[in-house]
Amino acid sequence: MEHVPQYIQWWFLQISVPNLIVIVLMLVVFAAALLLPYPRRRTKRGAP
Amino acid sequence: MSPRQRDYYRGITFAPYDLIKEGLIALLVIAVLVCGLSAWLSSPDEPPLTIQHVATTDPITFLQTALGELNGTDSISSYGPPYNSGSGSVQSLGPLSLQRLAGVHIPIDTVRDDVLGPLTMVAQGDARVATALATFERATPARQAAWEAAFGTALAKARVRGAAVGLPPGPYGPVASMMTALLNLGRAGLLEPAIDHSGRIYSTDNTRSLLFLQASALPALAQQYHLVGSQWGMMNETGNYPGQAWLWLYTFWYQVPAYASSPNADVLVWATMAVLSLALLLLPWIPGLNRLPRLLGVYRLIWRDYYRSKSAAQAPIPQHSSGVTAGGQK
Amino acid sequence: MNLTGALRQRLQRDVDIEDLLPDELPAYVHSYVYLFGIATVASLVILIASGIWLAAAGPTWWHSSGLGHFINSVHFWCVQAFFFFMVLHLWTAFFQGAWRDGRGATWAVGVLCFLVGIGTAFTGYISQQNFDAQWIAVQGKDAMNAIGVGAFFNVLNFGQMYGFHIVILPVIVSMLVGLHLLLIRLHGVVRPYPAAGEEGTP
Repeated sequence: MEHVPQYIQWWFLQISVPNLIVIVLMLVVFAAALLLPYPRRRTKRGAP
Repeated sequence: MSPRQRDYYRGITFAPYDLIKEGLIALLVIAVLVCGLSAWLSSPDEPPLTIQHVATTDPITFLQTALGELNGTDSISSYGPPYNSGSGSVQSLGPLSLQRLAGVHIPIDTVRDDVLGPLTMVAQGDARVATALATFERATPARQAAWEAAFGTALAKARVRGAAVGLPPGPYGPVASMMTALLNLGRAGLLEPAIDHSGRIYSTDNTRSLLFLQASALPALAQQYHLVGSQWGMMNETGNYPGQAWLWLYTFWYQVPAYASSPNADVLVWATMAVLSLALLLLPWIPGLNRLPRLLGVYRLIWRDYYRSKSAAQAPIPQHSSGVTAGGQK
Repeated sequence: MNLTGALRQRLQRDVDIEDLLPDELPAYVHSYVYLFGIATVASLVILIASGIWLAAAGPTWWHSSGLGHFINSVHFWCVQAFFFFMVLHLWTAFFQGAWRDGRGATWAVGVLCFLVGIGTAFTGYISQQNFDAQWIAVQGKDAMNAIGVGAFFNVLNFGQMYGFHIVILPVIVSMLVGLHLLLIRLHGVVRPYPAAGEEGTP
């Protein structure tokens, strides 16, 4: 039998550590994408 | 640019962009990411549970399952559509039962499919099994039930001694021989083909053997892997791997007592998820909900450069602008 | 009425190649959140590529071959990446109110991509021919039977589920994603919510 991951229990919520990592990573990546400054563009021009 | 877009983007500054280059870079980044994860963490592959494994390591569970199939006390015998016309597992939403409406399309007769059918195959080359089978099939239903009940009672107190299942002498009739023959067939790894293939050379349908295993053996193993409903199992995976985390809301309802304790739990959860999915689909047209992003204000973070440049452009300090606008002059 | 001519005229009227393949975008497309959509598409491309390899070698190959298990792992982690980035893309589109200005159909098609994607993943898990596949199938059968679908969509039938997973559902997902991308290009990227004092759809 493969290794069974750790489970975190809070009230009626139960989540495996791998799933928790995925969900936390989603929140971190989304927050980072919102907050990190996007590189400036070198030139601007109008529509053709 | 089409007139529609030219009109839509009036007053908006444009900047160079390369969609195809962006797509190729994304492809490269994701390829490196998933190949890296694959090389580092691999993927789960817990071998399937076989009837042979159950027959060998837990013969009492095997015999209890087989007896349940024979005497009709197993859950599938009385399940209902699509397997039969029972009502043991028929669900409905008020007066509407889609399950009943759909009807019986996968007819399953556990007595014939899982017990008498395979034993008939064994009987071709084993006279004792042929005799036991003939005795059983000639008997009245009441007699058959009496033999089955006696065997079931003894099985509840049986002990495994080596390769044998020890039962005291009793009025089992031909049932004991039949169950022993079925156990031997299971231990030889031949019960799945006997149940699923039914004389056909090609078969990719494991319905019957999976229903045999689901009576007891599969749930017991699933419990160890935290895969059962009460363990939020739908989200989980064998081994130390992420599962289907996107099913969190679907499995959430099974933790709510009002749903979990209902005999119509599955159809209630489906109805709830159908309504919520429809709401998500139609969000643009639902008053109130479609204004939530405006109220929450996260968009201010996404477009902060745009709003900053807007307020700078509106500031009274005169300056020469190098940007040009769509629909305007170069 | 000439159907071919009518279709050509309709496309000439409504589809501008510069809208389909622009070499510039509004300057407000200036945040990392705009990358989640293309990351989702990239995941789907690799998902299909690895899936084609697995299908070509047959459904039992990956259980006995080291290379097969690696390709299966790529397929497995691509599923995680696909949903990871798709959900982040959904959050982005939601917080942008990206359905505004006639883009409701784009949003709806995107939601369909999500829902059909879940179904595709479901049939994929069932096609693994391992314990996980067995358990998901016997559990899933009760839900399918309860809504009357189990009679025609038998999750215990490997052949049927495999066919759905490698042909029917990927075709549907690909068509929906293609339609989603086409709608985005035809309408263009939605404008920001109007700033204070600015005209536009609030």
